[in-house]
Amino acid sequence: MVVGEPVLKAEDVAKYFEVSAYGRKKVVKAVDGISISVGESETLGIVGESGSGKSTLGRVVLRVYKPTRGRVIFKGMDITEIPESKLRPLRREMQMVPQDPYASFNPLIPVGEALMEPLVLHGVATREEAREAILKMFERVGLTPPEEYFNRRPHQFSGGQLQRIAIARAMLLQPKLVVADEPTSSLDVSIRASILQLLKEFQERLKQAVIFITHDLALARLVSDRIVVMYLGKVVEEGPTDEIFSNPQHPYTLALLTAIPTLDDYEPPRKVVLRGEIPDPSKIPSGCRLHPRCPFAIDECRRKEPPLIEVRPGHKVACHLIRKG
Amino acid sequence: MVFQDPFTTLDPVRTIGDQIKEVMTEHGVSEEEAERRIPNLLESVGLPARLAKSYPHQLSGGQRQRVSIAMAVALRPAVLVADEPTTALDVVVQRQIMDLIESVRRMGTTVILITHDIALAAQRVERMAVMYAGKIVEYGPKEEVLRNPAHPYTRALLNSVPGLRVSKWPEPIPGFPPNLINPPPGCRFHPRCRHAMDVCKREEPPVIEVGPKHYASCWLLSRR
Repeated sequence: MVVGEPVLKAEDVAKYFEVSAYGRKKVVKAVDGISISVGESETLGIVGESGSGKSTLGRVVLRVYKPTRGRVIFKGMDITEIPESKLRPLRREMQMVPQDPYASFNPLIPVGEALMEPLVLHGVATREEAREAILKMFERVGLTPPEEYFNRRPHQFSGGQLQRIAIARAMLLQPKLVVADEPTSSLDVSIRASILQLLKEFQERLKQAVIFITHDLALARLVSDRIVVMYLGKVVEEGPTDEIFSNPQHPYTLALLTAIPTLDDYEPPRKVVLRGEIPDPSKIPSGCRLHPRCPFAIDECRRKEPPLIEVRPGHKVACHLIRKG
Repeated sequence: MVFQDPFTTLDPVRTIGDQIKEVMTEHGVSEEEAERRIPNLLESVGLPARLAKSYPHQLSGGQRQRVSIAMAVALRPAVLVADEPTTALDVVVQRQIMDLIESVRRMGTTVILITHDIALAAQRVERMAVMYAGKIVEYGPKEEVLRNPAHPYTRALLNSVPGLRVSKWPEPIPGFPPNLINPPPGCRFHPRCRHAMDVCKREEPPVIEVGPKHYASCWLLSRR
């Protein structure tokens, strides 16, 4: 790996799904031309509503999905086209923390067994060594005494405990890249903070690049160094976290910041209220995708897709109303 | 009542209008009268009247929640219970739906909002009751509860929510929510409370008035 090279780079990636409904074929453009990069020890927050394509983007950069176009570069190596056999050793280094831990475990298999499988599969350890490593990891994620948890099945855990197991599973192979997809959304508010803390500890120790996917701007503010705001498969705004909150530019970002209830007295520089809801991603509006909902839309917005323009160092906005400077 | 999940409250094989009509006819409104009211009712929740002919799957989540609200207010109830009405929705739509519930309230309906989101409650209610493991631990005017939280659980809850103004790490509440089949004896919060004393483990705390119309149930507040 070249020094200073980002751990992960995605260049103009897109992922289209062909679905047929009632005999008609539709193309869902879940991700439609996005470039991101994330470096060692850095956290990139991906923010958007349901249907924005943020989870699809997470799966594309992990090469769970092969992108329809664009390139995915992991540690300087183009992994867009490489076959599964060559991808497998790399998968160790790229892991995912899921939103719903219950959906990510086989309900019939004891969690200890489930965690053993990848270690043995990747040829990292024998069964005995694997068991040892898993017990140690259980302890590290706060499940003590670890022996007590090894043979339990997923339904015998609370959501918070099972999320700790999911984190243990992701961290066992010491990944360099972690994609956390709404890792606290399904958990009780009172235990969310401890799960975030745990992820942060691993990140610091292993110098991980983290992609944190969330619909919750307050969470994104907390964990991210930089934030990317997505709408219908496109980036509408990106920048350093403080900049996004102190100087948001895109009407969509402003609308999110206006809508979110908060306990402190935060107010965005301008309040923006959008009409309607995010449309079906198989029916993407022309021009700027936000124009049917945007109170500021001008004629140009209906015709032309706005480019992502850098307004300040590292801060980019895709809106016809915003000019450079 | 407005429910949490607008995807499961509506019958998938009947039209919206049909379902709204049933709410009214079941309660003694004549069929003609019910049909006459539907267009206005839909418009009052921000939906075009023509949606009466649509089926639930043709509607978005926000539109479905608007339909549930239309059904809930069809009989002009005195009280509307909204149980996590926006949990399944995104923030922009959440705001729209909460504004709609607010407009129902302004027309004279009492609203009980049930939510896990204390920031949402802070924005929308006048009085709040904080519940833990089946008990109300604190109750009072919103400003009082938010500014002078008296119960350790309320304080912990307020500290566990990240803010937007500054990036301050929330403090986790130790432990896990209790099992309600066998709740802890005494104060139900004691196993997770950093101030727990002996008495908290044995006896249920009394309800104490800590401010004007502001009550909390905690041994720390009792002078005895």
